[in-house]
Amino acid sequence: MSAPSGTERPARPIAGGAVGASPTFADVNRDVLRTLDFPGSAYFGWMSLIALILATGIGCWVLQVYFGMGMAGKRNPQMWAMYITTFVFWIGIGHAGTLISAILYLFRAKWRTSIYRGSEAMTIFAVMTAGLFPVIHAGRMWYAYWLIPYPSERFLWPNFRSPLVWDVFAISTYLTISMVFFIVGLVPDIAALRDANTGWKRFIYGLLAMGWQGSDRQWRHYRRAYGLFAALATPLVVSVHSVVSWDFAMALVPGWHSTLFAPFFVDGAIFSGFAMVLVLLIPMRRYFNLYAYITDRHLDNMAKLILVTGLVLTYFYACEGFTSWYSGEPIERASYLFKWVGAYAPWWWLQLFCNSVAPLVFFWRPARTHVPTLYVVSILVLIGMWFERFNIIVPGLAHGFYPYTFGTYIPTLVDSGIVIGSFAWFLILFMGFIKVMPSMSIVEVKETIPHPVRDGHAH
Amino acid sequence: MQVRVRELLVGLILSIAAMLLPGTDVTPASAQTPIAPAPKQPILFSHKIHAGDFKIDCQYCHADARRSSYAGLPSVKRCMGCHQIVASKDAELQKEVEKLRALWKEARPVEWVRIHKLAGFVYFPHKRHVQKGLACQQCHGEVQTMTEVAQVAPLTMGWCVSCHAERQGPLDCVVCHH
Amino acid sequence: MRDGRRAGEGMDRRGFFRIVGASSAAAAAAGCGKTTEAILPYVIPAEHIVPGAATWFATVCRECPAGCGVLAKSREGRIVKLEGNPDHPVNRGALCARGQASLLSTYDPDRLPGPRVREGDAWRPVLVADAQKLLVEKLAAARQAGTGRIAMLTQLETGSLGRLADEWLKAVGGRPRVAYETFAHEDLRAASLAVFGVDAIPYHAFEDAKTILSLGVDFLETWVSPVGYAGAFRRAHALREEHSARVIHVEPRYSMTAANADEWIRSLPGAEGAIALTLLRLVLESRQIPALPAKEVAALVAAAGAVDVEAVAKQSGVPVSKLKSLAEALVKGAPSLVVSGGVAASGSGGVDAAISVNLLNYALGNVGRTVRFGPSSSLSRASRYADVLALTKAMAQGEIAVLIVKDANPAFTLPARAAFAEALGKVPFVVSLSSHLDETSARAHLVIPDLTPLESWGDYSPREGVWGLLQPAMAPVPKVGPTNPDALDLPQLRAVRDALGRKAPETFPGVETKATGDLLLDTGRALVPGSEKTLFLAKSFADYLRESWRAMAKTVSPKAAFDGFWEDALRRGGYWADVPATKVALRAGVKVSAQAPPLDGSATDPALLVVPSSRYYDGRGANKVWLHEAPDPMTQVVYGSWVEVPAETARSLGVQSGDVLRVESPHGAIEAPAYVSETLSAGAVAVPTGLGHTAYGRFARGVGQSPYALLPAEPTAGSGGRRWLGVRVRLQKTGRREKLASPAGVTEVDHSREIFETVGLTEAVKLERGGKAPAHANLPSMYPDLKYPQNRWGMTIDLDACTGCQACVVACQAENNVPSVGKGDIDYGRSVHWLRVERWWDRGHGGAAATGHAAVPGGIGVAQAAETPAAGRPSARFLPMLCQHCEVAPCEPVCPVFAAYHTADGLNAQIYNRCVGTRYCGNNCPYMVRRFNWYRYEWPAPMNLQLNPDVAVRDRGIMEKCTMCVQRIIAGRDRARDEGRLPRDGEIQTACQQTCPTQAITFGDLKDGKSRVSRLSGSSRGYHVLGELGTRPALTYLKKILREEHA
Repeated sequence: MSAPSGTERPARPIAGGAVGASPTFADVNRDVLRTLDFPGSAYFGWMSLIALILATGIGCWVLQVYFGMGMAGKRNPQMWAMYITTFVFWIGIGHAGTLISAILYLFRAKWRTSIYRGSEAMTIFAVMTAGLFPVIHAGRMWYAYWLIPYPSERFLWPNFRSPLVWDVFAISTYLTISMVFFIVGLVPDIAALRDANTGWKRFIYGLLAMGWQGSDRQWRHYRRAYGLFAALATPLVVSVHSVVSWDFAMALVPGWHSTLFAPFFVDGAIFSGFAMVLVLLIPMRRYFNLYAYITDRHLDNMAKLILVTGLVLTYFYACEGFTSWYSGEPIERASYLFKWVGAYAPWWWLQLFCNSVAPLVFFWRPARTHVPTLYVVSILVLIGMWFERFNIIVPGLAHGFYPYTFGTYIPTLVDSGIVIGSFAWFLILFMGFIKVMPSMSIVEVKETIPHPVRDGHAH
Repeated sequence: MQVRVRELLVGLILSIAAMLLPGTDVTPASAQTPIAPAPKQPILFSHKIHAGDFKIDCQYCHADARRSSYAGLPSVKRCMGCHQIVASKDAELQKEVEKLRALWKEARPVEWVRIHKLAGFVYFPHKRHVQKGLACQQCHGEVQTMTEVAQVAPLTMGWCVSCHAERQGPLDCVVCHH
Repeated sequence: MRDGRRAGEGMDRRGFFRIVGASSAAAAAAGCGKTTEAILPYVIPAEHIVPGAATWFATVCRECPAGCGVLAKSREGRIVKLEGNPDHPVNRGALCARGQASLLSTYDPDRLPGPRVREGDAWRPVLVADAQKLLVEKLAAARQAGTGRIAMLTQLETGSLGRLADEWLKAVGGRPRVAYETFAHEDLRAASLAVFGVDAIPYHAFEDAKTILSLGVDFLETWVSPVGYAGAFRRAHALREEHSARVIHVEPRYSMTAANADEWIRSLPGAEGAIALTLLRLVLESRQIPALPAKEVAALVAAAGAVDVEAVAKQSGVPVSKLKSLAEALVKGAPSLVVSGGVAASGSGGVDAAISVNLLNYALGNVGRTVRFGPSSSLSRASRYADVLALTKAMAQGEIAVLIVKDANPAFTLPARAAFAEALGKVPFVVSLSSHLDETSARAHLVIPDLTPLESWGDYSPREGVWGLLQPAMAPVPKVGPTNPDALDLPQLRAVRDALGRKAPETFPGVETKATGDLLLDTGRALVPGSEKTLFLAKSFADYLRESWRAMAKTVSPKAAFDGFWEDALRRGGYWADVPATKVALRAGVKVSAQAPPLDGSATDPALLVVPSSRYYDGRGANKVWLHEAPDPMTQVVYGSWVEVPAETARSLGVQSGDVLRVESPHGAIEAPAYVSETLSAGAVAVPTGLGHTAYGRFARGVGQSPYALLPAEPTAGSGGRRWLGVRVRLQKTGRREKLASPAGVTEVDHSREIFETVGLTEAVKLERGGKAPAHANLPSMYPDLKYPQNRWGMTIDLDACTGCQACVVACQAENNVPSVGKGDIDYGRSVHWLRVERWWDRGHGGAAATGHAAVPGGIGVAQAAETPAAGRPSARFLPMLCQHCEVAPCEPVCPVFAAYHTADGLNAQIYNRCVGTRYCGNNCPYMVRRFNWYRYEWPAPMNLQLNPDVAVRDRGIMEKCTMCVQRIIAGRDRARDEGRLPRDGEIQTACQQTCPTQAITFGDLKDGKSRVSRLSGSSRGYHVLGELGTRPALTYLKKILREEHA
């Protein structure tokens, strides 16, 4: 990834000639709409590669459905393994988006404007990916709909005491709200697209714009609605991942049964979410040449957030160790010790390095704007966070209460294929999106642009 | 514009609700409307004649109903018990009797087509229900009026459960699923 | 086919009508269309059979010479389960793992459905009539050639079939029949003859002994009558009125019997005789023996005088002090019982050992009390190994024109050196009447498979005074289609299927053959003119049997009318009477030597101990998949055999468990994976019998190795028995590895986890006296306490009684349609057993601390233990683990769809057809007893006929577990309701409880204060596994009583 470092300016002047001038309204329109130009062969090359991986993943799933869960590496005692790991991982990714768009909006953090659209899209696609896994994971996934409460002919309801049923509610709610919030945010921009296009495109955008005229009255309603949704979405950021964490906290398994989990998971989620935002925005900025909008300041802020959440996470790791020691429960201790020295120890230490050590470079200011460093650290963080979930689930189950059934889980091609496929699925959605919708909010960016006559330094 | 949007949304919500609403069909058992057409049996055996006109007790032929989970089918021998001598006045029906006698000569069973079938994971003891004094018609409909028997009860879980709830039958899942 | 739909559909209805169709004259319509389903009524209703209701037939288990009585449960004309016959004097309602699995020999997919004629290397099916014609021709020709050219080799047949065969042989001028049993215990017979002048194996009354000393006898595994003796052992050993028999076991190897003794003394191989003789001397010296005639005492002294205690102590590895204390224990703890003659110890010195033991028992006054010659085992009627060799020789020299083999597999079970297979080649016409193409039948020219014991008439007398009666409990297995037609069987998908290594669903053609008894009668008539009036008068073997019982009835109950007697015998499963112990006198001038003859091979090498497998016996169990899936009690290894190597030897060889060793004796060599043992005496290696088949069937072929290849051919001098203990072997590392598959993860007892609890004898007695109920952890629960309107089902398992024999595991698999998953999956923790009998290694508290945390998943517990220097030898502990039916069950709240829920009578139920397969319950169960269907498991036809129609067959993606045999509970309640009463205590039995030889398991209603189970769960020894988690299990374990730790 040889992106030009954030400090330098794009080769081509954005507007009116002067390199380094901040963009004008015209620039914004041009630059954003340009992202929707018909893509080149590189784009299609990547897309077809991703599609191939996705197809493989689907193939694996078909095998698993036909022959049974045995095709995946699961066993007794690891009844859960990579699927739930990846599920939790994606749910986590799905957090930064809402955080940026809603919470930062409420705090009126202006710098969010140029990145929130992308991260919101990321959120929705991440949740859509995560949502697949409980289904993939179920032994008889064709009956997964039994988890949904509906008045059935059998007079049977789901068990509302089961955290899995809570998941159903938490995730569906989260998906719905963030979806609506996302669409509302899009409306004015789509209207802009409608006006910018002709023919069938204009027609489609016209439908999606839902008759947006930009009239004063509409704007008033729009603002109110937008604020309302932001307020609605904010608590969800916290609730969703807390509920997901209860899948574990509510269980009896040593190392899972802990009140720590909710904040622990939420923080981890934000941590990984920002990492993913960086992983997506940095190439996007390069590809679409959006240096003027996604500036060092954005990178710097997000790096700071990663640093903070990373430190908090490290604190939680410490707590995890402390509680298992302080519990005085030999079984708790044995299970924790197993993470350190047991069959999965390498992954445990890898996780610690990625999540607790790597982000520390951001204490050093230049690193926060140095794109290669940012990129590498973000990737490390993502790896680390995936393994954090893995290390909670797999070693936790491997060394529970009953020594006679201790055993090591070995992944197979099938479950690996499905997990990798999920990344392809996510990317295909995201890359599709950036070509049909403005990946940067025209309206809000414009709002943050200073009046030409005034001094360039707006904030 | 706004109007259209609202209509759109309302329509959407309604259709989702429609999808969720189940076909909760808990018809009273003794309903007469067949829920499936009567299959073609190898021998046109008329329950109407036997159980209706001649008032032969159900358990004379389905003798295991009171002592086993299966109601049981009459052996060819039992059919012949009467049909050695008994013939039908109706020439058409007599043909059917002849079929039976032919099978008896070749010592071959009648390959009846199953009408009432529960899923394999459901254990339904006829015995308990018969001993409790339930009429066969409760689940099988007014068989004595049917020339060709068809299934009238849905035999779905909801249908079983509602009856059990009514009559304080056991509602423990394992009673039927084990 | 949608999954849930298929659960259960497996057999109950479709299967039933298929059978009925078959048993009526119609050719069964195998498999029914998915859309319309044909139902076939009987043409003529079979009596006894009410479709949907079970019928029981009493018959006899013929898996080994013990001849236990069994009740066969028939549903719709097929046997779905075997259970011990409670009235039978041998096994009193219990059955071993082999007995439970014997059902599979009837439903074996590799069973020969009909006669076959060899053509080159191929087998051509022929009609029974043609086969018989061919046989008669050959026999006639053989008779022309002169007498003694027809020979017959069968397993031990002590009943009418044996008699008929002998008469038949006499009539056609054949040689006397050879009744071949692999484990015939000739040494015991020789010793009885030498000492008391009776050629018999006496009945050993373990139940009446206060002190039991076993010199290398595996009486809990295979010896003579294992189920009966296990029960007797328990009756003596149970702690009653603060007393229980003291059991001491002397053996180089830590066998299951050793593990269940109070004290295990590790001796060196072949020292049993010397030890016994020394004990005799010490006992005589103690002068505390019951009064004996002076000349008998003199004889005893004469026999024992020579022995040098010090030398024996050195030779046997048992210190003098220990020997002295043993002698004292025997003298003090009368009545005592000393037994010897375990297979691993017979051979060199075996006879002397047995003689010394006889003398010892005589001196202790046990003969007539705990050693009874009246009800002797009918093994005494088996042919000697020497006789088998004689036949082999005759065959090799071409003296035999026609050889008939039935239910014996000498080509596999005889030592390779005996060259039986080669000798077979010299016989022009070999006829096998076995139902399998085992190693012997595979070399035959004609096979006319006999029907299995469940399908045929017969009788068998396991010991004097007991006549078991076999009746056809079912018609010969009919044509059977696959359980669930595989979608991949479509021609278009064949390639995919093959690529995925899946076999096409099979169809079993249906058995059409002639029972051996009838065959003998018919051929007899055909060969011997006029015999149809005299010898072979009986129209069928059934008649012959009835007639011979008529004769027997005259002697045993002359007054009773025969018809009544016969009916009664059929109902009870035979006839038995108490046989008093016959008085035997000591013979003068008994010679015995303390010096065992040396073993073949260099003296520095370890001796080879051949261990009779408690699962495969001599090899006849090897094609029964249930026995493969049930782990070996001591090693916990499934599928496959091993070389048990002492840890010391292993270290010096640099060998770990799973390294393939070349085991070389002067007579042959095998290559098998090592199992490193901390307990085996350094002077020995042990190899189990039963596996290493090259033919026989899909489950047996190519699995494991057989020690028979290593053994010498020549018989033991004194007894004409086999020299099981006869060779020393050289071990060699091959460099290959072959992982020993096992369901066990870490099996070191970690005393910080409340899993296996023990209590000292004195403590136990104190508790007994105090009799105060245990304070179970009863932590508060957020949820209101459960009410139990009717019953609360519960169970207790007495760890002091459990011997670890695995019988319950197999019984559970048979009762509950538990699938067999295969070697790889068991090793990968995917076993579906609802009940597992775990073997744990206990090193005391110090030891556990050392191993508790370091335990790393994978491998067999002892394998890691062997690496760390052992803190003393570990003791084996056996823990049957199954669903604990917790009152506060961790699995229930987490299930999103209520598939796991608590019933009103305290069962933790699992509704298969509701299960979505999230496996959350599996994670949350601290006992890890919830099992998942990782695949759609197959029951190759006709095994699917065995499926219990009262239990749903689970499909892939479904969670399952122990239901406490809810179908039996429902049936029991049903029975009670028919009789207008409530179920009686003990009336409802779970499958595991029913079969347990030591009655370790008790099931019943915890609400009924008087029930046995509530009494036991209130026992002062009671505890809950992982009770501190507050799960409030309905299962209470009773702590194992540690009487003495082994030396």
